Amino acid sequence: MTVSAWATSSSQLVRGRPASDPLPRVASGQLLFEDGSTAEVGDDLIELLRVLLGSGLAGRRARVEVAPELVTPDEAAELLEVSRPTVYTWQKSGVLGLVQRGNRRMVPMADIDAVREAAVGRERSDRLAEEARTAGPVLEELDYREALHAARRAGGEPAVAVVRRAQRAAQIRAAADQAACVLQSSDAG
Amino acid sequence: MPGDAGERVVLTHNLWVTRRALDDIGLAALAGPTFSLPAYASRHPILVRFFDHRSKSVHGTARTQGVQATKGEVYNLHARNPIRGATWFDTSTNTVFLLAVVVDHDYTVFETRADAGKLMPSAADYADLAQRLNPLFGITDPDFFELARPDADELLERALANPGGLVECVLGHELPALMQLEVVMIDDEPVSGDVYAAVRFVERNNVVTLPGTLHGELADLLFPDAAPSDVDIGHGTFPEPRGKLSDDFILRWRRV
Repeated sequence: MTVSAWATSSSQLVRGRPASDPLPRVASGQLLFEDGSTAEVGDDLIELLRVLLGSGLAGRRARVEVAPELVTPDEAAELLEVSRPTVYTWQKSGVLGLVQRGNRRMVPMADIDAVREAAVGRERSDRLAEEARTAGPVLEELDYREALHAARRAGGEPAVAVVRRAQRAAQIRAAADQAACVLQSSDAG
Repeated sequence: MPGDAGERVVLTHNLWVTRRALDDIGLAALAGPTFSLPAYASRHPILVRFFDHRSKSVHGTARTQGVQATKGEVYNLHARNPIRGATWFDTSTNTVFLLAVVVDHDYTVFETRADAGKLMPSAADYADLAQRLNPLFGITDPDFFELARPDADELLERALANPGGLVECVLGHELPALMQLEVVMIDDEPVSGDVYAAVRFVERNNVVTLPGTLHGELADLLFPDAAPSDVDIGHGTFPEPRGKLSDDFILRWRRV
């Protein structure tokens, strides 16, 4: 089953489930965020939901408060493989959060994860963009379906993935080429 | 601001911040396919304004001087003084891009970049966007179709083993899908007919037609052994009694 909870103060903790209902046995859970992204819910959070729903929330409202995991600027610098001044610069620009603990400018661990994930995603995009440089034309819908079908018959999922990737690269190239042609010289008008 | 707690934004288009624009405001380290405007908008005034204004309209009111476009227009975006941005609506991807940001009210930067060919979205920007596939459709994992393969195979297997019954699953943890093997009566005998599949794009918002590429990938995902000419996409309704629900996108494998 899917357990979903919107992170707003007024919504139900688990959609469509009365607070008086104990959570049934579940194999896994998933958080669905408003921007469409998802996150797997671990055993700890499922247990938390079970406690909240099973202990008679009916008639009352409760809010879960969590404290972010924090690391020092030195630890952040090491984790991100940057200098400590870069960590401070990123705190100032908003890349990283800043939580003051005494005289220490602590960094939320979640922000460090976000920077790492962004770097991984950029590398992947850069590879796609490189492939796009030599990509062929974008296949029309039926041609693309035929190409996927032929690839599946010839080489199964790996061959399909190659066709899919080629189409994506072609689309990237087409979009970038079109964007590059959008501007005309400022003298022309 | 749209996206704040309690207010659900219904976008009719994508909003995307280019890598150069993120670099302009010191957020280059967050650039890439994982960048989420709703999540990060509060980190800079121009992002707040971009989200707020361009979620309502793809265009602005004042064109950016010195930047002339043959297709569409580049518009100014004002945040609090002296922060200014430039945006452009790309009809081919249905996306408004925040192209560049200046923090000193200097519009000539936009013109200079345009002349140098460094204003518009790059291939890397489009690759970032492609990795998100299309957030409007609620599919976020770049490997969605590979991940969903076992789910789809099992769904079809269950449908074929259960003529007339509705079977369902969530493909790749992201896309709810139903399937049904039609049963028709011929000479008072039940005979297996076509296979119907419905996928539900919960974020689709009824605003845009699915791209042709997504059609092909869905057909390949749900009916991998079907000849492309035997699959109808986006038309028809499920057999009785279910019919068609408003969020359904229906594919039909004509087997007879």
